[in-house]
Amino acid sequence: MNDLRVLASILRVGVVVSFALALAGAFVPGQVGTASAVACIAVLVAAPVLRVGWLTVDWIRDGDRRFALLGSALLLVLASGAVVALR
Amino acid sequence: MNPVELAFAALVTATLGSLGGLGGAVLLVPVLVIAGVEPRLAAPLGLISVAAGSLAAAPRQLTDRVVNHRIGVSLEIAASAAALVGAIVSGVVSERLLSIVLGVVALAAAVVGARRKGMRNKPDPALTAADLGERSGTLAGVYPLDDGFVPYQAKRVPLGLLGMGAAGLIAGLSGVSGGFIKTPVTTEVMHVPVKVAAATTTFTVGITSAVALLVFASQGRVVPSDAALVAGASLVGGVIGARLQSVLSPPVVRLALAGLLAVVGVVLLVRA
Repeated sequence: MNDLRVLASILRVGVVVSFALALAGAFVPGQVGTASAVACIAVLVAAPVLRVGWLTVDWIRDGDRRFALLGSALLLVLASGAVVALR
Repeated sequence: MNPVELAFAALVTATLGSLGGLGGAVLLVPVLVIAGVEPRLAAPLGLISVAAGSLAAAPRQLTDRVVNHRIGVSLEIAASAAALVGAIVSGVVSERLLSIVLGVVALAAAVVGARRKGMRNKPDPALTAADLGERSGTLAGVYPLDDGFVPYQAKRVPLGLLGMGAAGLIAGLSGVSGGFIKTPVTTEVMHVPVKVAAATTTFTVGITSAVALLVFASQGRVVPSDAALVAGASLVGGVIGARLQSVLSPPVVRLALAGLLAVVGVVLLVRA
C-alpha cells in the first residue's frame, strides 16, 4: 500500500496549489483574481473525484475486485450527479 | 460580513469540522446567515469550506493510516445516490420541518456519543506497524493509537448503509454535507473507532460537496472572491483539525464531537 503515500504526496501538492490559487483569488484584483478563484474551486472539486479514481485503479491492481467494482459504481454515481447538476 | 470576519469564521468552522468529521458547512452556513449573508450565497460557501477542509486534512490522515477508503467508498454510494434524489425533490419538504428533524437528529447523536464511556476497540499487542491500514477485500483494518495498534471491523453494514442513505437524502434536501449524521452512524451503528470514522467521513464529505458545488456553480451562486477567501482559510483550518485529531485521544475526540453536535442541534432548532 505504498501507493497511499504517493496519493498523500499528490494531495499535499493539491493543498499547496489550491491555497496559492485561493490567496490570488482573494487578494489579486481583476480577471486574474477571478480566474485564480475559479481554478481553486476546480481543484477542490476535482481532488476527491481523482482520489476515488486513484483508489479504484489501486484496487483493480491489487485484485480486490469487489471494492474495485464499488469504486467504479461510485464514479458512475458522481458522473450522473455531474450530468444532473450541469443540465 | 467583512473579509477578515469571513476568513476567521471559515478557519474556525473548518478546524472543528475536520476534527470531528462533520464538515464545516453545518456550522459555517448558520454563522454566515446570522451575519447577514444571503442563504443562497451562504450554502455554496459552506460547501467550499467542506471541500477545502477535506482536501487539507487528507495528506495527514493518509499518512497516519486512519482513513478506511473501502468503508468510505461503500457507504458513499448510498449517500451520493440518495443525495441526488434529495436534490431533485428538495422543493417538496419545507425548510422549517427539515431544520427541526436535523436538529433533533444532531442532539440525539450528541447524547448517544457523550453517554458512551471508554473504548470499544482496544490495542492488540500482537499487532505491529506492518499490520497498519485497511484489510483487502473487507471493511476491517488497523489504526495506530499512541504506541499501540488497534484492530477494528465495521459491523451492521446494512443498517449503516441505511443511515448513510438518510444522511445523503438530508444532504441533498438541505445543501449541507451530512457529515454530522455520517460520523455518528459510522461510530455508533457500525462500531468503527471514532478517529477512523471522523477521518473517513472527512474524505466522503469532500466527495458529496464536489458534486453539490457543481450545481451551485452552474446556478451562478458562487462569488469567486468570497469563495477564494473561504477556501484559503478552510485549507488552513483543515490542516489544524487533522493535526488536533491526530494528537487527541479517542474519548476526547468523541466528547468534542458530541459537543459540536449539540451546538449544531441547537443552531438548527433555533433557525427553525
